[in-house]
Amino acid sequence: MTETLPRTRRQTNPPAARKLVGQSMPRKEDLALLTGTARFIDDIRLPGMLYAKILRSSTAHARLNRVDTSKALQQPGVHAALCGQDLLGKVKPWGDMMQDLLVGDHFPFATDKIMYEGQEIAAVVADTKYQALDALEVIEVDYDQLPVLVDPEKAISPDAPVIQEGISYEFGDGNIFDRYRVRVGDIEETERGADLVVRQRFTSNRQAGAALDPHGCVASYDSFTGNLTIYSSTQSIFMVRDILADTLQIPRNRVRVIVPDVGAGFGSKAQMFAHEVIASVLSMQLGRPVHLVLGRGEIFRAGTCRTGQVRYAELFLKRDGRITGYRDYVVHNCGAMSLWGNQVIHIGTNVGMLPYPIPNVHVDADIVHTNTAPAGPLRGFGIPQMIFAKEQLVDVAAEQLGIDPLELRARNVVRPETFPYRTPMGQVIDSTSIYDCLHKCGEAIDWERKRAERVPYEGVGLGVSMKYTSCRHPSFDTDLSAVRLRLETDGTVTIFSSDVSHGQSHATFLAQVVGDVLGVGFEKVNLAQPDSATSPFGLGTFASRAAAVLGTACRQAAERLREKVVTIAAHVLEASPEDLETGNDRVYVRGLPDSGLYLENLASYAAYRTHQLPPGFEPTLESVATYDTPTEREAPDGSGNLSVTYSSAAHAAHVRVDPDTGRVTVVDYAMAHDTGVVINPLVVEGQHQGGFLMGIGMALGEDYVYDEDGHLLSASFKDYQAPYATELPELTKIYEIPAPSLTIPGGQKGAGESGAGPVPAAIANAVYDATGVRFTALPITPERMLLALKEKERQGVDTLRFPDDMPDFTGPRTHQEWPEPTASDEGDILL
Amino acid sequence: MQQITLTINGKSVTAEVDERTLLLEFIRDVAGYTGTHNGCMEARCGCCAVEVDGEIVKSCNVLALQVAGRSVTTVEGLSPQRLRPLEHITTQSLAGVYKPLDALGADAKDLHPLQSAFHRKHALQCGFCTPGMLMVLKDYLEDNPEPTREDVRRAISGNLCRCTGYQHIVDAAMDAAQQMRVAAAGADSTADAADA
Amino acid sequence: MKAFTFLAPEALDEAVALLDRHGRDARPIAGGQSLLLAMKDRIARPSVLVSLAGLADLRGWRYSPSGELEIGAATTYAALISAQFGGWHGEISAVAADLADRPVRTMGTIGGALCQADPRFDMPALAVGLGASVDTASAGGARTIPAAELFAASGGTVLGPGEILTTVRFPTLGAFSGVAFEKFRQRVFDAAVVSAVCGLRLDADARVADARIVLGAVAQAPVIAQRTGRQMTGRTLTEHDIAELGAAAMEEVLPVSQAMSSFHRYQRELVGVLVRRAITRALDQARS
Repeated sequence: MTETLPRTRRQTNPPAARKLVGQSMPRKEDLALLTGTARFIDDIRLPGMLYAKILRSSTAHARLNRVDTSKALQQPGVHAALCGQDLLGKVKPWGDMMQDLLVGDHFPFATDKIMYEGQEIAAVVADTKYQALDALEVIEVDYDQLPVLVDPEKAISPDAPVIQEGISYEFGDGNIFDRYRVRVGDIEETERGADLVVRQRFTSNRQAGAALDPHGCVASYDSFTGNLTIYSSTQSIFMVRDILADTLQIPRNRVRVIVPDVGAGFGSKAQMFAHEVIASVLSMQLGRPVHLVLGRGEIFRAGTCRTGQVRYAELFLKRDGRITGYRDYVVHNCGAMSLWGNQVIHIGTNVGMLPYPIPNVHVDADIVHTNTAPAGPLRGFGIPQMIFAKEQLVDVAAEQLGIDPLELRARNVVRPETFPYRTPMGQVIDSTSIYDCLHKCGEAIDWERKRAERVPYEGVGLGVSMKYTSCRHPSFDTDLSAVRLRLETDGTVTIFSSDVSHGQSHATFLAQVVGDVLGVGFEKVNLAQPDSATSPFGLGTFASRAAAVLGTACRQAAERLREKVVTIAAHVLEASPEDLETGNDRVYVRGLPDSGLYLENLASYAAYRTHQLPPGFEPTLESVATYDTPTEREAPDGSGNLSVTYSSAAHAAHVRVDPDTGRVTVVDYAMAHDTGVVINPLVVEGQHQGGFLMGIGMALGEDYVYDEDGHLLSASFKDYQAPYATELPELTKIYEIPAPSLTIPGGQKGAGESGAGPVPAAIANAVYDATGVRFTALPITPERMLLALKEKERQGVDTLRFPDDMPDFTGPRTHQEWPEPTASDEGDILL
Repeated sequence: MQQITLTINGKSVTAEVDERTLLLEFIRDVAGYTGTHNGCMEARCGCCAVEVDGEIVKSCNVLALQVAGRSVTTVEGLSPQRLRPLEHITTQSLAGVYKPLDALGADAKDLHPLQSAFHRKHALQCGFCTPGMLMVLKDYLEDNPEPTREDVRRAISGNLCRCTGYQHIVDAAMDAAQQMRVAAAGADSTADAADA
Repeated sequence: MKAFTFLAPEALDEAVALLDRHGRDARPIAGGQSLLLAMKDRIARPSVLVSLAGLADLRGWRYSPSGELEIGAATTYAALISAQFGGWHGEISAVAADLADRPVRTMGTIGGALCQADPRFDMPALAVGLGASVDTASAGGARTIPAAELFAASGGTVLGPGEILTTVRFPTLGAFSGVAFEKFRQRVFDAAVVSAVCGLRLDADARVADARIVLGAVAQAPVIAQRTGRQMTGRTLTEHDIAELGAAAMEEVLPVSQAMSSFHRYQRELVGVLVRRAITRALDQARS
């Protein structure tokens, strides 16, 4: 099949306009954050504000018979209390829009059933936080315990307790609430023709975003105007606005979402949450602002976390190392209710096939509910889970074929003769340097020497991945961001955008883009806080989309604004627009940069001296641009180009294992990335280092540990193994090998998540190299590491798959025993 | 309810508060210094670190009553708000010639060496953990002016950051330590000169 | 946190009287680093807090005439670190310097840690391991309790309501020729998964005259590995002996029959490793 792919020519900027993009400008954001004047959600104070607190379930699965808030209402300082029965029929369940479900699976409180520990039962609002907390203690809750389902693989069994009883899913009444399928090429034929098949069952852990700034909001309703203003610590103001308005059944122009400074999210704040509805309802009831900020334990239990997966993965290869096929059956655990967790498997699997253009791919996934915390997106959106399985299989195959792991990867990574190139999975690779990145990271870690000179209990490992740069949302059909620019009357510029900067440095890099296009000084460009009343509609900040998608919208808006000021200047200077340039805060005749008209003057013509304007010129100096990426919807066979461009990451880990204690220490780490055109190198370096932090946390410690009753045992920073500075290696071996995107006008690619993707795989491969233990489950805690070493010693073997080779392992060992996909009826059309 | 007086960033603050009021809550809700952040209430994340009489504590795990009468320094005390009017940014300033701190209406003189090093080295992303990091490092570097990178990591072994991977934080701390040593040497020689 | 009354006595007898008056609802608070965590979670629910901060006698340290090291119970970790004790007492400073982080060490106290009796904390194991004892005061009078008897096997301490721990006494420098505290924790800031203390005295021929091995975090209270300690006595220990002693401690403290869960199997392995490390380091110290 041949296909002519649209070739977007990358716009080249005149050299003069290159001076800000590409520089490590120290950030505009910093001063407020460094001096304590920044305002986060818990810092918002409104006149008459009351404090709300939520009572959460301490059990994971129960029939909820009765919630009695009457005693709480008698407590000092208490103004109101709410529970599920109060809201039945009054607010609409949500979750349908985001997750492509027929009905919503979320409600502000449990009504007749408790489905996970930490679920909202009731709320109280009082004059002070202490009064609200005191009142929660006297709320009476009567429930009958139900059998608890924690293991996602048990969720698909017909006799498993059913969690979401009230909802009839497309696939019946069980716990499978959605499913996913890929059918690319012919996997049966591939299997027959393969020289080597490697297969393994892998389980990946659930990881919290654990953004230090808690989830929370302050809702303020004016009963006379009907306007609901909500300050929220969120990544997406319009997702909160639209779903909140829909849930409360009020017009969307009456809901105003404002974000204060947001102390990170990592995907965990990219949804609307129950607390936002609860605070809004309480404020509507009382006509007073209501503050509701969650505690750390609440966020662990009822925020959202990375989806857990069980994968039965198989990789098919030819003797020469060519990867010919990938087959997988996945049980994808989204917890008791999903926060677009079902979308994670789509994007994670599609994009997770990269950087290999695998011709035959066959995946079935059952997406299930368990009595555990709601799961959804987290830095990497399914990619780290997928890469953990696939990249370990690559190493298994390399060993069996007798090919060096780096060489085997080099033979397989996408390296077309011409760009853009469409892979069998449908991704359109518009540029990549993954091959060079692979060799660079190998060289930086000293791959060949370290593989040759063995040091006991030390080893090296590789992981490669490519990452989406934003994505066409699998249930929505959109991938847009928007920017409105206003040239102020003194020649400064204000950027309005709804995409929330929560660490991504929007104020800085957007000013770099605007400065270059418009010729305005970096210090004169300011970013307004996102506010749904004034910001143009955009999806929000997630999926590594800021620099490329928002940045492109900003570039286009700046170009439109530039056109306007040039038009005015041409008229005033009586010059031809083609002869004019922008720079030095002014518009000038080419070659005379010290002459011309200041933007300040041009702006004042449009505001105060409109007779100076060209005839018919509309006196406005605003411009708007929306950039919707030229991406595709997912095809029924699972293929498609979901992302506008793909960044690349090749990582090499050098680990040391303490055979006494099982501690795995990453002693050296090299990362080579293709992030396209980098607007601000220091910021992008920080993104990669942050991505690594998430990756090493997932690899070595972070986990949602449940007991069999569904109690989360790691719901505090005491027990949740988030790494501190002492647990991280020095991260100095960071290399950019830019292959500018041909699709994105400025050449950028997503930076935010590519540092996370390969980390668990690279570390796991290094651990195998060091010890002979192939970890099939995450995280690789010291406990698991040491027990694996002891087990290996006991069995007297050189290599061991752990924990799947443990004597008490009861799961299937060969593909003949692997479970049949329970939900792959051929007639189903995947939306 | 009990009346408490604390000195915060040099100003005396008196209020009648619930006995349960944590030092964190007194600083934020009573005195109004919201730069001290509540990240976990478990004394685990370090976002709430402040100095009490020059000693570093996690203010979420100290009752205001425990430190009644004592003197507290928060991140706001590292670089007091400038009371003079902000300098006017003229339109004649050259585009592209960006002197970061100047352009933002502040300069290194207004900032603690750690603050300016964090700015230069991009040691903060979302910035929520930053006030705690600054306070803990300030306290540490004043006692340990010549740390190794490993020492700095141990100094912040009770401060979480989820954004940076800590690399730039350690870079900034090493840089600031150098600045602080230079400043201390300068102060010493000035004092010597005065003595002489 | 439940509402409470905060009382700040200025003398020990006043504190004792206040605690006596308020009975079981009252709790003393020193640094509060553990107590406040429990109160914020509403696990601990005292209605009266009696602060020990105003009691000057409870802070600081001195050597008794007999050479015992007497540390006031409300002495902070930070103060223990800067005390720079001599001889094997230096291990107390070293342990204090390597637990939690600087802010916690500013507030946290040695007595607070002992009263909290969290098996994963370092101070209980250290106190038992080094043969410390504690002085207490209550309305019923004062008493001295060996640290080994302070901790109840089922968790917590044997202190009665209203009983204040006032002093922690460590034996004289002559009691040991070498001591070592070893622990394993996943992150630097974490409490121990297992900790091990070895205190030993060598005779003139460099044979072990007597020895104590104590394990922390493996049970609700620190565990004295008496059999292992006795095995050491009278011998000039070689590397091989030390490996055997580690194995002996594993069997004594966490026999296979009790190490059923993977966590306990892991702890069992760590017991062997840490006991070996502690003996080795204590011997090095004793021989040097």
